Amino acid sequence: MKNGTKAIEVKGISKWYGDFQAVKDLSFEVHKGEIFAVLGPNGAGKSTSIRMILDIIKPDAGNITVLGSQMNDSLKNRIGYLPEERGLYKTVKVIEMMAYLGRLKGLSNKDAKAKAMLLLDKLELAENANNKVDELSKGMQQKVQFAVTVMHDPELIIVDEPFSGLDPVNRLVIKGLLEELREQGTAIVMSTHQMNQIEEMADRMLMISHGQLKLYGEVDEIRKEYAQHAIVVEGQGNWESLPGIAGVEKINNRNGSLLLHLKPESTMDEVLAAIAQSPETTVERFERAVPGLDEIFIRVAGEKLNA
Amino acid sequence: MRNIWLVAQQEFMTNIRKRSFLFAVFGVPVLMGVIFAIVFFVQIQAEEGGIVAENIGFVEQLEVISLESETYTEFNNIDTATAALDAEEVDVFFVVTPLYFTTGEVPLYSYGSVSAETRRAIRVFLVENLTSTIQTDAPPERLIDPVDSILFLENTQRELSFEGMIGLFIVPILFAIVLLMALQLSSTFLMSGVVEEKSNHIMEILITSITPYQLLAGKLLGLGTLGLIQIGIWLIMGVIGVQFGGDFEFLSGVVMPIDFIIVTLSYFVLTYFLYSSLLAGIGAVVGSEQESRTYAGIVSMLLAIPFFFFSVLILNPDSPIFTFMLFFPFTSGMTYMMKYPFTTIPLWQVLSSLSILAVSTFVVTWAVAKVFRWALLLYGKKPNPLTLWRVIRGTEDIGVIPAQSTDMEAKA
Repeated sequence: MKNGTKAIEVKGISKWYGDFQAVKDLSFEVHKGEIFAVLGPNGAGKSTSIRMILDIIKPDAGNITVLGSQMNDSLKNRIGYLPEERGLYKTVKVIEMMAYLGRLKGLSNKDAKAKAMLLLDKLELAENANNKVDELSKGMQQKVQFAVTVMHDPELIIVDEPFSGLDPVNRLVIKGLLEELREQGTAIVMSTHQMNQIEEMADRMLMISHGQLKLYGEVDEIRKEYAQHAIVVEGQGNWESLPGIAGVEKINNRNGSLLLHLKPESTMDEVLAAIAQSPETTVERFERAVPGLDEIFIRVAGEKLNA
Repeated sequence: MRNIWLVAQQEFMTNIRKRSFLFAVFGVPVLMGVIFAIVFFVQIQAEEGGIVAENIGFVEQLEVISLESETYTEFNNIDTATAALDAEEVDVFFVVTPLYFTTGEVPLYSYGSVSAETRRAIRVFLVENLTSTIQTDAPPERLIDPVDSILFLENTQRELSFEGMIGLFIVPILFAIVLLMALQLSSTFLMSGVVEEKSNHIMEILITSITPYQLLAGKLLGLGTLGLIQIGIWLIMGVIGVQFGGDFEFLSGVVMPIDFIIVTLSYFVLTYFLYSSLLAGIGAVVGSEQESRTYAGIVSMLLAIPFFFFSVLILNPDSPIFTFMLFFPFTSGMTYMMKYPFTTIPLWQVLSSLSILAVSTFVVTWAVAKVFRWALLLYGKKPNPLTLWRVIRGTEDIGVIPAQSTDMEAKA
């Protein structure tokens, strides 16, 4: 927690659609000044949870506190939301549309236009301000959509797949803006399937599957938790001699590195010492094998699918 | 209130610049004016066409004509008259048949149609002869057309002259058509807007900024104002048309009583909210432009029902069917406007009709607001009437069928 203040506090929420329970007793917190990732397979209950936070739908049980109070209309201007299904007025000029949506978020017409121009400039879209939305490329529209989400300086931003449809350059631009907002103390909830983005950006994460909480906590901690009893090694020399090293059960090649699976009783120090004693090898990289979120996601989601 | 105003302003400004609105406001009256002008021109041409006879022959099979005239030549029988017609001694001849007193029929013979002027001249000539033995100071024109009706309605203190009656018939019925078009346009804009916002998914952003009720109220207000402006422009154009068309007999009689305008505008506002709310609800539930237009067409048919009974209205404007339609909220506005020129509608009926319409509008708008909120994120699936009833009763939460149905797909 960077700021120590809760932006969202979800306590035991559940949601039923008829006989189907979309969300089951879900609890978590989002802090100001952090990027909080929400992930899970399709149909896991992510959208339902986000909509409950935004008060679009009501939970059947549990309690949600947003920016220190129960969700109410006055809080709407303090929240920015980028839904997965993007939506803009196609036949309206970019600047006019942004001004309208900004005014709905409490800005004056003048401020809304000024803020819109500032953001369009940052996103290299200033010269498109007077274009109609449908004259823009899909990537440009994505950026406009993002600008609409943040133009009223919200304290809490909820973004659903913020990078979809963006090329690598624009992805970097949006990533930079999100990180800038985090530095300013904004709480950012990011729902995405792009695990690399979570690994790169998110401070903490929540994974839900079948409406239930599966993983929750700091991203690095979760990855460590799922770490195997293995070591990634890179270096020079004759690595063929390593299988004989005490403590190593199995060796796999992984993207030019070696993944050493250790015996249950052996430690990393022992293996490092053994490798260091080998005259035929030089170690350039030696670290615990921590799985990527992709791998964790597949393991957790797979468990549930097989359960 | 600020958000309602913002939405209203946005809807107003967006739609007032639409080509379809500009065409409806300015193009349609111009088009109608051109059509009327063509009809009028054709009618004048028809009246002025035909043979204008300088020499008229006649055959008397019944003794009627005693006065002499240079224009009229008597023939003994039809054969001699026909020969004179062939020889172009006369341009037309008529026959006073033995059954003239019984039937009034006077056959005309000519090689082509006979002008209205010649027919009128023959008519005057016959009246002069028929009345030559009667002592009267009245000119033949008065004897031909002795009554120019003036109806004085005690209840409304309105005086209807013959010309004025034509104007009064035309104005309310034109008004009904104008309101029908304004209602259709505003309501359709509203419905299309909702469908567009749903289909392009901006709805999800809007309802995280304002409440669905504010959104609906803003739309109703913005587009209602647009409808009133449309009517206002048409009224101004109508007044200008009447001013410039003063030479035309039927236009000179056109009057727009203030009581009629006030009551009509009240009907417009209430009927607009009733229909627009319904169409907004349809737009929110259906979510496809094509499908929503089909439903809108069906709903709008209700508005036009009184027009189907126009023949009944002419025969008996106080018929029970028109009284019923005056109280039925979906038809009351149109019925009032159509009934107004033909009879005096009791004040209690007008007030009751307006009250029923006001209450119905309130109830429908309230119910639609609930459906509107519930259905905003409804995609791809249509609720059945039972679900809608539960929504109106408040026992169904928004998102029962969620957007993209991802959660439901998981269930499936």
